[in-house]
Amino acid sequence: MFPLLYTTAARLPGTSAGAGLGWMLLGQRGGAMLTAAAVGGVSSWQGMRVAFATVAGGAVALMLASLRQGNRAAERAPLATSA
Amino acid sequence: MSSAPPIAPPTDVRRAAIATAAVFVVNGATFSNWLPRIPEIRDRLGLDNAGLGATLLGGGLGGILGALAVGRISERLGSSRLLSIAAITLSIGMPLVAVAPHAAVLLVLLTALGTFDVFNDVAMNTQAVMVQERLRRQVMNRLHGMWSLGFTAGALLGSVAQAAGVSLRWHLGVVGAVLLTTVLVCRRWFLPIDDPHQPHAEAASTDGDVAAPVRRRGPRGPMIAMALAAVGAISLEVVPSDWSAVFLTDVFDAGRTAGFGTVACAAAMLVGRLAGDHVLERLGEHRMTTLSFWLMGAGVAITVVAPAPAVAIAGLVV
Repeated sequence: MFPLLYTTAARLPGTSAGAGLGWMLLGQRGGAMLTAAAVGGVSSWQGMRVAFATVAGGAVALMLASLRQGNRAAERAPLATSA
Repeated sequence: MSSAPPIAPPTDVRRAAIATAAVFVVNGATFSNWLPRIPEIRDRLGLDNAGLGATLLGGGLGGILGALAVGRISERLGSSRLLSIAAITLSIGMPLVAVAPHAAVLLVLLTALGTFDVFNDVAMNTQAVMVQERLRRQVMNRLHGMWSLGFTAGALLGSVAQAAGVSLRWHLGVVGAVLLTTVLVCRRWFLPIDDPHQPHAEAASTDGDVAAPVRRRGPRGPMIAMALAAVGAISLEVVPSDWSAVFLTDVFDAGRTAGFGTVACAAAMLVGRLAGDHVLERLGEHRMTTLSFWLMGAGVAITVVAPAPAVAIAGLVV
């Protein structure tokens, strides 16, 4: 999925490629740290199967919802003008 | 993007494609070379695992700082200059890992490297998207496959160097020099000027080729959605690659074969990236995204209900 996300982030309407990719990488780097903590925490509480199911299942749901929301928001967003 | 005309791309675009592919390989190899030697670095600095973990957090922290700053820096410098600066800095900075005299110095170094890695990542992918648009065919998956190749080759080289007893300073010094030379050769072929960003479709002029001036704060909705999608995507990458060995050990008591999960995930990712452009050109973006979500859901389901390690590995591969 990442090559597709990079392409989309670099071509978000109304903003520069650097800004779009910066936001995407903010999620990527923060998400990597959150994922490690989430899998570690849930697995020591409920075991590895539950940890995989909740974290990976939640990730699929989050991607699906955010990409749909992103498409809607991109359609609604006003034209960017200079700061 | 879908119908490629049968004409050869101009020489500068072909050179830019080669140069971009080379920096993807370089970036993958930059970090993976020293990963197999982390235990050696830990022992040299006299750290326990907790101290090592805290020190390694520098990379993540630097990544966050870099991601917050990269939009403005990229707009000011342009992707070509930013990529040159970041790739050169990473090639010179990576070997310094071998000479860091104290954990605090290593923490600061890794934070700086993490920041420049994000600069490199953004500039490299901006170049990649421009190359893709000029070539009029999909190449992003293949370029990310080049990163995976560089990462795998670097990790392999690091493992071999460690097994052969090559000193860490020599190993990283020589690798850094090779990576630096590659960047210095390739940088002249980067596309020099970034494309103007696309205005919003509703407000764009009818001919569609007039871009609005770049503004610092873009439409937040799509950008936040993109960040959340990236959280999901990285989770789906980190869970199988980082945790599959632990999963196979804890759930199936896989013992020495637990590492096959990680190997299978890495191999599947490489195959997916090398084949992804062909699939994307055949199916189109919407159908490929839909198919990807179904496959990801199926992979998670197969893994968590798997009755045997082989089935779990099959789920991880999906």
